[in-house]
This record gives sequence, C-alpha cells and structure tokens, in this order.
Amino acid sequence: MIDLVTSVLASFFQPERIGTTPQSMLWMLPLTASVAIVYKATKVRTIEAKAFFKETALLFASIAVFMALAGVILCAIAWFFNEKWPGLRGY
Amino acid sequence: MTTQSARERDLIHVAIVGLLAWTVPGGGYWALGDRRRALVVGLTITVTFLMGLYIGSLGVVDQVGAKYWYAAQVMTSPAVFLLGRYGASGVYAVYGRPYEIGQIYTSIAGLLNLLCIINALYIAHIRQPHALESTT
Repeated sequence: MIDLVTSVLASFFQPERIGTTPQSMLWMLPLTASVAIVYKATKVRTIEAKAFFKETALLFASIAVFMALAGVILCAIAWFFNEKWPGLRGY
Repeated sequence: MTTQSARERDLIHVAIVGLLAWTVPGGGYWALGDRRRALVVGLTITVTFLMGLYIGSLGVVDQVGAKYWYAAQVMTSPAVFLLGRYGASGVYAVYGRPYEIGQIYTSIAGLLNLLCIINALYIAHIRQPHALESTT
C-alpha cells in the first residue's frame, strides 16, 4: 500500500514521456471533456444525470470534431504551401 | 441606514462566495446550496489540474519562467502559490511536450475555475433581495 502511494506521489515529480507524435494529440480529449463538463455545469439550470450527460457528450463531440477539422484544414494549407506553391512559382 | 447595512451584508455574502469559489473549486456553488453542481465542477477542475501535474510534474507551475501561465494556474486555488515556490526552485525542471501539455492542462483548469467564480458571484448577486433595487 505504501509502495503504491509512494509511486503515485513520485509520478507528480517526474514528467511523463510524451513524444512529438500524432498520438500525442489524443491528450486533447480529456481536456476537451473537462471543458465540456464545466461549461455545461455553469449553463444548465439543474443538473439531472441523464440530460447532463447527453448535453455534455454533444458538446464534447462538437469541440472534438471542429478541432479535428481545423487540424485537417491547417495540414492542407501547410501541405499546399510546402509542396505545391514552390512549383507554381517556378522554383 | 437599515437598507445600507443590508446592502453591506449582501456585499459581504457575495465576497465570501467568491472567496470560497477561489479557495476550493466548486466551493462557491456549495455555499449557495447547489451541492451537485459544486461536486461536478470541483471534481472536474481538480482532476484536470492534477492531470496537468501528473503529465508535466511540479515544474509546470513556474512563477518565474512562465508568469502568464502561472497567473492562469493560480485561479485554480490559492494553494497553487505554494506549488509555485517548488516549481521556481528549478529542481523539477521539465521541457518539451510534457511541459506544454502540463501547462495547458493546469492553466485551463484555472481558467475554468475563474468561469465558475464569476458564475457563482453572479448567482449570489441576483439572489440578493437588494440586487434589483441597485440595478434600477
């Protein structure tokens, strides 16, 4: 038990290993969930489990989808200027 | 005279709600009797902040090298001032992705708590019997 507590506490003093990989983008999902939960909690009149879960899930999905779309559009713009634009300019 | 002292009492009540909301995430709603909202908000903000510390270690709370991020982090709770002292010592230095993600998590937790502080203050204000008088 003490070992478990010690290892949990120790993890707060040592950073996690996160590479610059596409998978590291998945770290946005828990944060998106937090934002959706807190935002909805401040907006709804009363918190009823079922309705609250539904509204939060909807907001979470909307944020995630729009962020993914924004990522795809930015990637497309970067690809265009790196791959196509020099060809069009005759470089 | 009576109205003025009642308004002062209202103001003190609103200030206490704001202070509680900052001290403990969700504390403002708890003081207003909205226990369920207090638990949802308190747990979510606390877990988000702790996740940030877990990802990037104590080094993400840096009151010297990252002042603007620190200003947002402090909104989570005054207890972050204590963490800032440890972070500024340089013992828990952290770089790269864990630093960025840890800072984003802890700062967003602070900004979400700021949203809840403002919301709790607003609810406390409109529930006051003298709130309508002061706006008209």
